[in-house]
Amino acid sequence: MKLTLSQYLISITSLAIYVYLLAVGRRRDLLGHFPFFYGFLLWCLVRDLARWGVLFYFGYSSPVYYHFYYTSGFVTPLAQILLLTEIYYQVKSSSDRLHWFFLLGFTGLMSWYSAAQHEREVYLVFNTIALYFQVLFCLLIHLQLHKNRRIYLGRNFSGILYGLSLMISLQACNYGLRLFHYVPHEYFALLLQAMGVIPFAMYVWYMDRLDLPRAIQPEIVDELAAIEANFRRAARSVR
Amino acid sequence: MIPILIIFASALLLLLLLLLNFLNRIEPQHVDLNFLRQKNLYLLHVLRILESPDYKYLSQNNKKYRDHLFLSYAGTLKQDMDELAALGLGFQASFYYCLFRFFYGVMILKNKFYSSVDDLRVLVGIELLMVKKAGT
Repeated sequence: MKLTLSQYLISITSLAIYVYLLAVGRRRDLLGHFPFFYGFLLWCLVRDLARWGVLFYFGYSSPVYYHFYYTSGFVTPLAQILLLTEIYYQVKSSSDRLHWFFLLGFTGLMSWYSAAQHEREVYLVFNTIALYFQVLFCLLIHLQLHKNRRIYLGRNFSGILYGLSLMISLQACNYGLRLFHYVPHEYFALLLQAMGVIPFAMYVWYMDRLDLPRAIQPEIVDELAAIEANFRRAARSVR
Repeated sequence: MIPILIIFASALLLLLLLLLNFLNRIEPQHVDLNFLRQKNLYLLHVLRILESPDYKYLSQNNKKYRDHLFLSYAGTLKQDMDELAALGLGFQASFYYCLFRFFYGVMILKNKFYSSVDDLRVLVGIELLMVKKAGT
């Protein structure tokens, strides 16, 4: 099996975006503010370059490339979870222990099912477990963000969250296609690479300048709540 | 099968929440508190204008003027919706806000090719729905 033109284009575009983002981050002093994000980008860059090296040296159908591809695939979900944890601590509420309990409990339950399904496919089991956790974690963060509109996450963290959520939800939709037909490894292969470019393009837009999360002054929060109550009263009279 | 179904449904829900949070991205510091305090919604003015004979005559007979009026009033309605969305009025109101933003984009795009007298009524209708839902 040979690489297609679309695979070459996707890889080259991704590499160009990683390099651009790292260069912009360095020039605008963003690296120190978002070490996990830029660490993740650096990892993606090194991983893709190493994959290209292994690909050219050993060939696409060699066992070395196969093992290298899937072994390197273990780090990416962990790095994404690390990023999500960083965002979660910006939006978390006081009842976070309960969240973790449900998150880990539900992921554990789902993982047990999927591990029983593909017990020999270590890579698939790991990615499935990670995907369950990531989707639920993203849902939790978005619900927190939606519930507490007084939190201003900042341009950069918002961008990271949007990009990651899009990446993860599309991965999960892709995985969900198993409902309709069964082809084990292809779920985490070409289509994911193509969809992965969109979130990185979003990062180009959101990581252009520094805009950190800010605590909104309590008096403004109180005033907004009072205005909201007044508005609800007034809106009833529009009926 | 059930875990896959759950993850698929969760992913779709995540996409929906992502869209809601993406469209509701308002910087609370930029909200005009005085505007909200007085509940001075542009909607009320636009409703009055829509019924006025001058508006009806001008928008029916002069395309250039109709486009100008549409763009100005649609902009003020969008400002209303942005301010209301910043209050965080719940999921239902967020849904209407997303709907408004979608139709706002569609109407602006449509207006570049073909404009109609009723374009503004669509946006007004959605804002009215949101205001009514917010009161429940």
